[in-house]
Amino acid sequence: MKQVEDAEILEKFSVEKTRQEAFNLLLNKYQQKIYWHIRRMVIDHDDTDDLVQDVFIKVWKNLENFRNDSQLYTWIYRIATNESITFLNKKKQKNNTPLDEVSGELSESLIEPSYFNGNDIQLKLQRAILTLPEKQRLIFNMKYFDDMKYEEISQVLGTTVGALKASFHIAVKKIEAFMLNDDISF
Amino acid sequence: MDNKLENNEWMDEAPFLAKLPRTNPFATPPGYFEGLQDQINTSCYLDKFKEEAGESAMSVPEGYFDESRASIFSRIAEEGLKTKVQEDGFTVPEGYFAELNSRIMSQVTPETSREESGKIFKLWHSKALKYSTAACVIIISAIGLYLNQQPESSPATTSIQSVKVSTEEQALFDIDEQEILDDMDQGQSQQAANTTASESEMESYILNNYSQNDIASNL
Repeated sequence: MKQVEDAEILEKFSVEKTRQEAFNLLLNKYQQKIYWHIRRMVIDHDDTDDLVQDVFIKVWKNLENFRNDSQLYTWIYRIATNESITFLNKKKQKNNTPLDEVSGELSESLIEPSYFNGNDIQLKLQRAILTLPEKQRLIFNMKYFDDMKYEEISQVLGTTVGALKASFHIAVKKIEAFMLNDDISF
Repeated sequence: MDNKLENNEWMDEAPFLAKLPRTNPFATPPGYFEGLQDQINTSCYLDKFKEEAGESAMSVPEGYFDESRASIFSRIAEEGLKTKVQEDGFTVPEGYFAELNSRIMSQVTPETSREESGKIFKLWHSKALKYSTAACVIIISAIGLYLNQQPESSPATTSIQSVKVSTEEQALFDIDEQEILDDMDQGQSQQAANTTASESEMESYILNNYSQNDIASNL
């Protein structure tokens, strides 16, 4: 299926008659990317499903106010990132869980037979990623899995490219050390 | 090109990580993405509907939710207590309730029959009064019989006479006994005085009441 350009989507969305059509085109283009972006952060499919819907409802409500000062998908990514971080913060507050223990809880949800098909290495990698702080985890995921450029990540997170590079390099070293640690096994 | 350079930098620093295949270990339910679009459209529609419909027109009384929460907690505590303490600990003697019904009924039944027959007023408040009254009646009756030894008459006159006798008896009962005896002595003396008659009166009586044959036979 030919990907529709963001400009066309925005143009059609501006006209009330074609608004629904534009939104469907937008969903076709970005729903899976946004889904996996959120899923790598919150791990659980059901939580991800709720957040995906929240994100696209916000997109629907605010797209007419989009000012083109960034790309459409980075704007959607930003909404998804903020929703994920808000969700994780709420989870910490709700369970009165310390910061470092939330990752432990997410790590436990990897073991549950809830849509995880990876082997031991992949499981270990996911656990390694969960040891990173939230923002660093985001940076690593967007760079490593989504192959996004630092400029695009900068637009999503509102962080400078230099800081992003530094953060990503630190993240890579941590994960490498975790993966090479034979004492950690599952 | 720039991205390749960016990636090469970290790959040199983490060769093990660089070798790992970038496969996605996460899965989704079957047909999830096929239905996701419709799901999102529905969510958007409902969200818009909520905004247009505004807040619910329904309201609750003031302080309802606070009271509701308190009553919920008390219900929970109550049920928790009931599960822990099923009985109040009080006991009764064996067979108590089986006998109770009959005991109550036995106490209740006499009063109910008295109530049905109507109110009863006691004539004599004590037994002594009752017996003394009976004794007086007997005495008066005896005196009356003694003083009034008269032949039998018709029932009507008998009843009148009996009433007269009873009133006379009551009068006699009121009179002192010594007076009665004095009166009786006087009557006897008068009677003795009244029984003396003259010879001429006797002669005329005999001639008037008896025949010559009777007189001759007696002579």
